[in-house]
Amino acid sequence: MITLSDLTKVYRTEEVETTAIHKLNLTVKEGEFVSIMGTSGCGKSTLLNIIGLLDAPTSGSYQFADEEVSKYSEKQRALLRKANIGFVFQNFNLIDELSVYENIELPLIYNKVPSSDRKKRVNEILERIGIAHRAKHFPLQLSGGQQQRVAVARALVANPKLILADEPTGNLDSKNGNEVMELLAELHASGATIIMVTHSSYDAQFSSRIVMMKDGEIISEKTNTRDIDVLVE
Amino acid sequence: MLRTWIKIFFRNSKKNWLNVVVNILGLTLGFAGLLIVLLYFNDELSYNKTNPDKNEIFRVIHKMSDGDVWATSTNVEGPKYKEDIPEIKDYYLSNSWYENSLVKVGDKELYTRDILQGEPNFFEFFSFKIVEGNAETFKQTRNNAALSEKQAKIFFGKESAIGKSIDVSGSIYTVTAVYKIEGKHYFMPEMVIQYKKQPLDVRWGNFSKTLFVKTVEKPNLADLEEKALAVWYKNEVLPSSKRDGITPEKFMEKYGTTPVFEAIEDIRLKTISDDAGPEGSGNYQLILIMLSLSVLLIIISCVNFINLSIASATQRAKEVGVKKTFGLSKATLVRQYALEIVLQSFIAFLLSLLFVELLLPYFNEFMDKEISILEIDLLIKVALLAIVISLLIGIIPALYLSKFKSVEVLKGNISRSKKGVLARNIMLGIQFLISGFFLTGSIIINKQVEYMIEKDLGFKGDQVVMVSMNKYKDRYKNYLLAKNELVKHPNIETITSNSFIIGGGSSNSTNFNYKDISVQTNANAIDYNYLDVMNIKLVKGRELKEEIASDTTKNVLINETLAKALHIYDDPIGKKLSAGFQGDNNDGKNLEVVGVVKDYHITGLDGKIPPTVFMHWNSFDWMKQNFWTIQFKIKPDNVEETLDFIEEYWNENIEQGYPFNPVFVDKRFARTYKKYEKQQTLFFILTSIVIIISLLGLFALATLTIQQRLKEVAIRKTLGASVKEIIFQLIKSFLKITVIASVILIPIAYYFMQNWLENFVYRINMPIWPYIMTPIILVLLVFTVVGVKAMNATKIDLIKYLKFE
Ligand SMILES: Nc1ncnc2c1ncn2[C@@H]1O[C@H](COP(=O)(O)OP(=O)(O)OP(=O)(O)O)[C@@H](O)[C@H]1O
Ligand SMILES: [Mg+2]
Repeated sequence: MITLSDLTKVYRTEEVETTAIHKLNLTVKEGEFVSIMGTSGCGKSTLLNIIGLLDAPTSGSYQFADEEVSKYSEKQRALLRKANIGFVFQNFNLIDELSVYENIELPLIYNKVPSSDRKKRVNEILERIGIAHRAKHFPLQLSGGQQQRVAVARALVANPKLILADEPTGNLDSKNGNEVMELLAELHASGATIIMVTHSSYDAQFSSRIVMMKDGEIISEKTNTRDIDVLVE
Repeated sequence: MLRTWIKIFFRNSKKNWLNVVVNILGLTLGFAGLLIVLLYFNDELSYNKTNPDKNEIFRVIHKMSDGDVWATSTNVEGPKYKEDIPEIKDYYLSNSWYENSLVKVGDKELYTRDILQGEPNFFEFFSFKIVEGNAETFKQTRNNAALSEKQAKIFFGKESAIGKSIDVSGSIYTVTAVYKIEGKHYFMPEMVIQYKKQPLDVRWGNFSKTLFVKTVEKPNLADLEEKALAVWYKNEVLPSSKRDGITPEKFMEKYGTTPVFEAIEDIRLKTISDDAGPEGSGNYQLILIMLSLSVLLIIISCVNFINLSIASATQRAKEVGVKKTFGLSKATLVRQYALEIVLQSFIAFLLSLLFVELLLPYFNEFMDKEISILEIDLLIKVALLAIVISLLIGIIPALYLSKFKSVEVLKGNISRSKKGVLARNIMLGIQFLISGFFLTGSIIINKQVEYMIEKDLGFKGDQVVMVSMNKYKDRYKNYLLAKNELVKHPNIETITSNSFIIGGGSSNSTNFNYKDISVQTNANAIDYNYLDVMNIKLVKGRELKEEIASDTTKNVLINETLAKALHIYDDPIGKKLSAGFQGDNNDGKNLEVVGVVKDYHITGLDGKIPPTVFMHWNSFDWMKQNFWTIQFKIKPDNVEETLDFIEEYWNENIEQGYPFNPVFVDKRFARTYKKYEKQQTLFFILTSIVIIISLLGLFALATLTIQQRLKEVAIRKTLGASVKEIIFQLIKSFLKITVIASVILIPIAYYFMQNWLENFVYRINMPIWPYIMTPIILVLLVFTVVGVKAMNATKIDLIKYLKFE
């Protein structure tokens, strides 16, 4: 589903030039759950942003669903992104002025889903992540874990092909973090493709493959054997 | 330290130049408005301020039984007050108005304006600075004149004026004082002359003069007025009621006069009477309106300033970058912002001084004033105010910023409190409301003025020149003389006259009766050719003719209004009218209507066309007293030459020494809407200022809210919102404010503009479209300003706003 070859990202500021990603190669298949790990500043977020079409690579190729997208304009990327990719951020990035329901509804609105459909899908998702009773609340009235679950719900609601999560548990205590991870694992089990950046090797255990990065390059990959049996323990 | 601050300020200003310009511009306008209004206010308040006895000098005015308040007084009451009321030490009686007259100085005759005639003790009440001669000698006899420095120079050049004789319309005076007027006063004449005899009219009903009294220090006003009323009671009410055979109470109720003592300082702005003296009255209401408007303006500018400052401070903090600013302490940051804001408002203050200085000449011409910016006291006060304001608007954003954890501020994650948002939206709404009001008002005023200019007035005056007569004697004779001679000139078509002044009105009215219907009617004495020359149409019957003898005795014309009022419109010819006046050989009882004149306007369009009767000058000989102007119909070519010719003849044969002021009749009529054209200009200026301020406010608030919503924009964009959707999202709240303001505007603007239109008897119907236009214009402005800002917002770097440090 995703094929990156010789992908490079260089940040240029007035004073310095930073190579955040250097000739990186990576393939992610449909239905995989990949964790990206590595030291701070090694380029994980940068990579995720490029995969998420929020940013363009400096050079190299990026094929998304057999389409070469590395040279896409911002507008093209935006179109592709809106239809195919859902995001979960460390700081949730919910809109404080909108209720839980409205936050989750947003991607559907932007994807021009008719309103009757929207209602059905949002309610379904709310049930699924177990916060239907909080639908009318505002983000600041929820716990961190709940907020992140809303963010996951928002990422899911438009049925994207790919879900990207940048340190989704970074802001949460272990209990809340676990809830979120279990939700992601469950999604994976039901067939979603997920790429997640994390610092926690515990969280990484939930995924099917772990990619280690250093200085913008992948230094090792490991397929997870300990399968989803965590769920049934 | 200060140098670094200022350096940082300039570096930042360069980057955020638009915000800085907007900030300074808004404040400059606010300060300038306030300054001009205060200067004007100050000037109006300065009347009689410098009179050393201002606390003891009162003007006596009179409340009549019908509720009118007359500014004039009788001759008799002053001496009686002085006699009967111990607290009243002296009185000064004079004419109410200045006179203009020919003054003979040596062998020259000079037309002189602003002459005040009164009792000899003028300088006891108005102690002008005497530059030559002295005030004591002036008051000793009744043959003295005092001159202003300027007038003395005109009369005598470099020679001393003291001891010289002058002849004012036949009365000889000796100049005994030359004065200089400093400050502003109730009377500011060019020449003061005395009554040759003490005015001895002893009637208590003849109100024709102005009376001032001087009291002891700190008088009890209520007590004084009571005593003055007692004087009236004793001298007028008791004897007259006895004569009329009614009770004094009944007399008081029907004809009673209550004297009121008005502090000299209050007259200009607050008089309750119909007149504030020859120097005119100030419009206190207008001042209060302007004052509140300018205070509102400055509050709005400050709010705009604060909004924009918070926005740019947040933005800057973010731009500086977390790592770098982390080193700076919060206090340092806050101080830097505060200093910058104070600096900006200081610049704004200086600019406003410059602005006001440049604007004052126009303002002075417009308001007919001589205001100078060099009112040091006032400037210091406004400067202090500027400092207070700048501290305030510097501290508020600084406090606002420091309230949040600096990390939060630096990330731009300032949450928006509901109350704060509401308050800001209301402020913006008010700005839209005011802008909308002025915009709508401007359009309607424009329409009415246009209507007045284009309205068919019922006469044609563009080729007719009106020349006023100044001398009292022999006006009609002189007219006939001029008529016979001047008409020989090839460029003078005809010469005519009437007793009305188009654009000024008539000076004579009486009741005209048909059977038992009586109508208060203006009488216009005309020459045979008057209606023809003025192109005034006849709707029925015929004009007055020289050949018909009875046309100079009993035959009259009436206008449509009178015909209708007398209910003879359908069949007016031959109807017999009787008038409330008579002539030497005309009892006025048997006047016959021979024609009906189509209504035409003589006063402005704010006045009704009065019922009018037209007769020949000779029908009522005394009408010739009302001979004010001669009209010349001249050919349109070589106008200058023709006027020069008339002037020459005029000065030689008709009125030697008097000014010659020809004016075209249409121009004279145009003066009646001068006032409204001024209002039009004023409204236009105010509209522009208010709209500029609102635009600045809009800009500031748009910058701020969008600044605060950038993260939301980033999130929405990430979720797939298109540029259009985001812009709409950002504009939405502004549109809501516009719509609400527009809706509130409608009744307010309608109420005030309907009131304004009711000034005019002849007016446009209240148009609907300005009320539609205004919201459209406001919405367009919102789209432009917020749209541009929102457009920029959609171009943000998503990652920067999404990421968590
Ligand atoms: N907008 C930018 N401009 C310049 N340099 C940048 C920018 N964004 C990231 N970098 C640099 O690129 C490198 C990779 O950054 P990135 O945010 O991808 O790291 P990361 O692996 O996500 O780190 P962390 O675990 O701390 O989130 C870093 O050295 C960072 O300083
Ligand atoms: Mg990162």
